[in-house]
Amino acid sequence: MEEYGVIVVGGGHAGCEAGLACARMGVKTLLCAIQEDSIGYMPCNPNIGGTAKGHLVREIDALGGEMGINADKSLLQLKMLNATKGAAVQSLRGQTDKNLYHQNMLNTIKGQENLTLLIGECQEVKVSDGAVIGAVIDGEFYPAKAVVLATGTYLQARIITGEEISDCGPSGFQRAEKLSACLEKLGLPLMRFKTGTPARIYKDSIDYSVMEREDGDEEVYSFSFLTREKLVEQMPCYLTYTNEETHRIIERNFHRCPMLDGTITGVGPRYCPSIESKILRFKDKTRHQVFVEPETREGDLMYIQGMSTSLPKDVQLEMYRSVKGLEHCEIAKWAYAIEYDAIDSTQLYPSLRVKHIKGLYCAGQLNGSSGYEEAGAQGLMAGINAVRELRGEEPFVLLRSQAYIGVLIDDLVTKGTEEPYRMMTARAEYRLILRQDNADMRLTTLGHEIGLASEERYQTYLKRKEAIEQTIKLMDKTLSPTAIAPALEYAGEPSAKTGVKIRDFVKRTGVDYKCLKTLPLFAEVEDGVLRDSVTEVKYEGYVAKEMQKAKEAERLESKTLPLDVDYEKIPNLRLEAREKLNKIKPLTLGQAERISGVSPADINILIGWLASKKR
Amino acid sequence: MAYTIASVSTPSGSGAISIVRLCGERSLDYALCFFHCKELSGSLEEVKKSITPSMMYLGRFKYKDIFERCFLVYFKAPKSYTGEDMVEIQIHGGVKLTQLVLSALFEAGAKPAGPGEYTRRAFLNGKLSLSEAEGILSIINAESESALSASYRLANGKIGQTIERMGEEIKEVLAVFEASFDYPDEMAEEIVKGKEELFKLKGKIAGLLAGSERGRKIKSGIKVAIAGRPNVGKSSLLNALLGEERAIVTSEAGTTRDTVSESIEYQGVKLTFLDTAGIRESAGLVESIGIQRTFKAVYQADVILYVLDDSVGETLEDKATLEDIYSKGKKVIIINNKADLTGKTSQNSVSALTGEGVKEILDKLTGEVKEGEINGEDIITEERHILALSTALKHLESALAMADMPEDLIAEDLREALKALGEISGREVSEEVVDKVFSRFCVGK
Repeated sequence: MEEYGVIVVGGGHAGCEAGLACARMGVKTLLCAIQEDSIGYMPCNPNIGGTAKGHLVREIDALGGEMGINADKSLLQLKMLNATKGAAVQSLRGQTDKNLYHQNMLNTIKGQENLTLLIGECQEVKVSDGAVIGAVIDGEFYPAKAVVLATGTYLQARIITGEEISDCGPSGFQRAEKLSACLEKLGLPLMRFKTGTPARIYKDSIDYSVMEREDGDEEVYSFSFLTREKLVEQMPCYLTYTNEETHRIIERNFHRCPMLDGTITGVGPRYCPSIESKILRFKDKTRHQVFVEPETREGDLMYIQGMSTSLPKDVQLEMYRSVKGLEHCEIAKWAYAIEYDAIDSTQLYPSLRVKHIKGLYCAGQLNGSSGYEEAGAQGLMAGINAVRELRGEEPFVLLRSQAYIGVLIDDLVTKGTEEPYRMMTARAEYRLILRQDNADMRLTTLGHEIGLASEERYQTYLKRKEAIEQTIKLMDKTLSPTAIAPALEYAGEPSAKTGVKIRDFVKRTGVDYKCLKTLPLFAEVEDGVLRDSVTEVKYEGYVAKEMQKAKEAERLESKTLPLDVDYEKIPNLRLEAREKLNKIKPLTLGQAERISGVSPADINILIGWLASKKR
Repeated sequence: MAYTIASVSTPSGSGAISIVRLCGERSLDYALCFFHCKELSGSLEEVKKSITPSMMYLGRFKYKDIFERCFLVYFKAPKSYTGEDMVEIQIHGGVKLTQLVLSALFEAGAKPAGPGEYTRRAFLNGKLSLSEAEGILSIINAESESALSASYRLANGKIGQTIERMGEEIKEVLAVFEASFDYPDEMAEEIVKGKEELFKLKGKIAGLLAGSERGRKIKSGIKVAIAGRPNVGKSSLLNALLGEERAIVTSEAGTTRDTVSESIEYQGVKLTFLDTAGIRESAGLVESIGIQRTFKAVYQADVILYVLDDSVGETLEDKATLEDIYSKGKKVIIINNKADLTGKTSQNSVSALTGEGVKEILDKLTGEVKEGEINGEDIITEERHILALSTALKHLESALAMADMPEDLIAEDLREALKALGEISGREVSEEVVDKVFSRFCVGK
């Protein structure tokens, strides 16, 4: 039998990134998925990106991951969210064709050198002497030094629609039966999480004329820094609302709601509440937004964003049909809630390796996160680190000041999560540095150094970097009142009496790259380059300040703590701090400082203790 | 590298000298914005090259109205307490002066040092041995204990609650912005309301800060300079105010050649009186030095009691001096002394000799401070709070500076404002904002 370096369990968004990363870094990799249809499948909403998630996709891409490229290949519509709110909170969201996304990802995986796809159920991870030795798939043992678990919502999953409960994974895929017990045996206690999805409705049964049409942006963007193709034909989404009648129907049926009658015990996400929780928690709101989005270009299903539920089918039908434009809707797939097993993510190092088992990595929803993008980001990092451990290299860990990926993983492994964790821009303290436009500037060199980002990607990045630097240099010029006139006029500003330095002009609010486009000086500059150059200049002052803060934080971040410390034995630490420190085993003082229950005084004691150890 | 931090290293209050300390790579840059001396001339770069570390330089600290003789010592990294570049500036002791020097350094870009931060840096830079570390640890603990008891007192007190409430209000608005970023389609109305809230908040903080001068007076007392032409009875007035013979009093003009300061407590308020040499143009050398000191005392004081001889009235000389004092924005109370000689009962008439009218003056001096207490207003007394509130105010002002400010930058300013206020209670707030987003708004796809 062929020997693999890494076995990746799960073919969802985490598993695909993990498998591809390992293979691209040159390691023979086995990707095990329970069903071929489940590879790169999107069981919930038909989009990639969104606020903060769009940042993750660009970071995955900048490092050499697949999600951005695959999304670009499968687009139905593209929008820059928060376009008017400032560059730091702008995020791309793409409506994607689910079938195409799956098919494209499957093709990429099948075509990837060093990567073998195996359809089957992983039942056990074999560990000997605290280190992974392989995995059992459909009863057969496959030796490997590292395993990446990316089991998504499949572990002991059950889906619930009213009184109907079935033991299966998302979309009725086969669930993973045996792995949960194995994980518990390996010393990884499990929690029960819950999430849900709305109904899918036949597109011909919807009256779009009474809904608000939502089109994509005219401006051309792409998720991947490598994508050059332009989106040809965008498809519209539609906006409608629930009403008081909808709310009455749901309230009348609260007693039949599995979430409320104790059937569902798993913890659900607050950021993506079911329609019944919205109505329960926000009684004074008379209507909620409902977005109707295409699932595919050719197919006949629409996704009903904003109305996920676990109510029984008869209530669902009545509820959906009370919404304007859905009066005659026909339901193709019923909404459901899904419960699944997840591990406590604080049992992982920032490399995503299980602390007490060499070679065992976990990624994605198994770690308590939610969302395709969060999963993809972890899959990528787990894959990279599995390879690095095989090679005896230091883990590749991104700081909170380097990437949203750093924030995501640090939150998970340092603070843990009590509900499915979603990336939000609010969680990033260095938001002004971590913009989606500069993801390649932040990360591609790193991705290239670790052997993941391809030479093509690296060269593309270098060219873009050079172009942006050149463009910014042009902005040091001072233009005469006549020369700057077209830009001022475009910006709606009065004409100038003296010369205007372009750099200063660019920093004014309301000035964007299109203003510069009116000047012959910038006529040759590519739109994307000019746009990003303008952003760079607008934010340079703020970025400098934030960099300073980041450097300040790095002082603690660079002080490493030994892994074999017994914090019980360090004098003067408070009891709670000892317990928490022993549980989390932070790698650095910076990480220790972020553990809840560890006070600044405890940190000072650790600093003193570290200093004394050095002598 | 780290921020450059600054703080007063000597105990607060008046002493013979105060030491203001800077630590961090820009220590010297900031200090040299204000420090001037013969040995160190030329451009900043030249001065930085020519300065000898660990050597004491005598020079002047120039900032606003102050032109203070002081010593400066530069400790070059790693040969300093913290292992980083450090500067110590020794100035004359004095609450106001020290405050001014420190605020000059803050203005240049230094950040206030947190409790135990110098030692913390010394640790981080490996400057302390085991035994030293143990020794200093107890100091750190003592420091944070006092910081702790201070925050405890404040948390239970009204002021702590007020500041916390303001932090809470900023947090509410920040949550609106954060929610609007993560749920772009859902928050337009709330943003408009949020901005209105910010304007109100800005006013509130500015109001609190406006009252902080009174707070400082409650804490450190009111400085009152007694000034006037020679022989109008300033020293007699001081004695009457003190209720005992203290200053040398003779009827010969120009006896008090130095400034004399005495403090009393009147109805719970500390009053420090500075008796000064009489001001007149035709003075001898010794006396004119006294007159220079008088002006210095006058500028340091919170209130000036300007004494006129009721029997003579306001002379041209008085007029000129008063105009000068008024131009410095000082509060002045005109005292008509020697009322016992004239028998007049005009406003602020006193007789230093009989003690008549003295109580009225004391009431007038302390009235402003006590009024605040009676009204139960929030009064900020702590320098740290003033700084936190000023920082918060600065960020709110910047957030509202332009109508079309990008919202990510507004949020950044709110985060900073919240952090500044949060430092008072020492609470970590980012997670709370996220919670707020979920509990207050119905968001989510």
